Amino acid sequence: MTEKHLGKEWIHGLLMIIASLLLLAAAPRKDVFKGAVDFVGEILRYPEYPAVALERSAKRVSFWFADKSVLQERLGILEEENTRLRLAWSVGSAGSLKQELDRFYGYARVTLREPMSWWSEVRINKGTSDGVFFGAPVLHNGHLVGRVSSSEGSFSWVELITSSSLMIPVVIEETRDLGVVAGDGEGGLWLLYVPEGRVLSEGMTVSTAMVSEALPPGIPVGRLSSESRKTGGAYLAWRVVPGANITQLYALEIFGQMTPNGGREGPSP
Amino acid sequence: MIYVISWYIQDFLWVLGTGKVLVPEIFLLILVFLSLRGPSRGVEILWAGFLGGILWDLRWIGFPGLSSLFYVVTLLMSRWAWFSLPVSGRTVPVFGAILWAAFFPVSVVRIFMGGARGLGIFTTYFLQQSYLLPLVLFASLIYGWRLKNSDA
Repeated sequence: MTEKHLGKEWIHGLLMIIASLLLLAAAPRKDVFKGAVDFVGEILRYPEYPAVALERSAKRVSFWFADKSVLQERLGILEEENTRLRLAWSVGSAGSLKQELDRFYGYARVTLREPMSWWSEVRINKGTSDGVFFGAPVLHNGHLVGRVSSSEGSFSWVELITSSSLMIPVVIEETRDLGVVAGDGEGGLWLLYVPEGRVLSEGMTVSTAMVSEALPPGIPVGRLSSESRKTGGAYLAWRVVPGANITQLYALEIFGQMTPNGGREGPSP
Repeated sequence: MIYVISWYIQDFLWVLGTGKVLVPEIFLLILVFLSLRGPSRGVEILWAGFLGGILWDLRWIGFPGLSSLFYVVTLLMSRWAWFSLPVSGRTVPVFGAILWAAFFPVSVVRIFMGGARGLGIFTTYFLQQSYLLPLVLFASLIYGWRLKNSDA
């Protein structure tokens, strides 16, 4: 760089510094530059427009994301509240069902059915204080589902006909053949000890037989199905379709339950 | 033209980051870069800095003369420091150091004008340096690359 260039440059530089200082000195007087500031702002409004638009869009996008997160949070709260309300409604509904079932005299509500003994026994909310006694037949929809196996003050256990340990003497209504109905513990019900050669067919009615005093005769148990199998000796076993819906037991009828005034009530089978 | 473009880029970024971030002094970076590379363009660059500074003050600061003063003084000092060195001493690291030092006065002014006080000064300063240093490094690399090519 030549001395001439350097000198010229410094002179220009010093002039600019002086001009800047003069401007700075006048800067506190806003009225002097107000027009210039407005003018520059007005002129630059157009080239700056893309930046302003971009900034607005970015703000809008950020607001959208913020709004979305707020909405999601609110949705979560509402879902939680909805679950609580559903639960409250279910509890209320179950309570009213319980009250409805309790209103029917002679009906007992199933209070426990353990998964491990699903096909063997259920607990009901009626006991000796309600007149329920050991061995009483228990019905559902007018069909035999089991017998009371034990009875306490306020509850009893009912052994179901699908239990492998309960054997019920029965008669086939159409042929008057006698047999025994027993469960296999897995939901199946079988008519046992029917001699081979008997003419039985699907749909025949199976009812309790007059063998012991504890079980009145004529209570329907179910109907024969077409499935049969050979057992030991000269006997056939026939599968019986129970008349009661054993998979869904909510309320049961106790046959021969004592009434509050001491008598026994027995709904006709 | 490059002065107008660099000023506009800085203005554009300032609009985008209004009230949120301190925008890098791209205009000053270009001025210093060009002034160190072209020994004969001193007057032209000084006037560009002066006018650009006044325009900036009228647009954003509302205190005319402040930026122009700092721009002009910075350019004069940078050129004086750079051209005082022998040609063999004008290396890329020295170029980078002068470029980085050129930002210091105006950076301090921007920090105080931005309202930073106490520990906030350091926070703003380091934040400012976080994007200033990459720019300086980038400019130095370009200078080095052009130096190498012109030697060839």
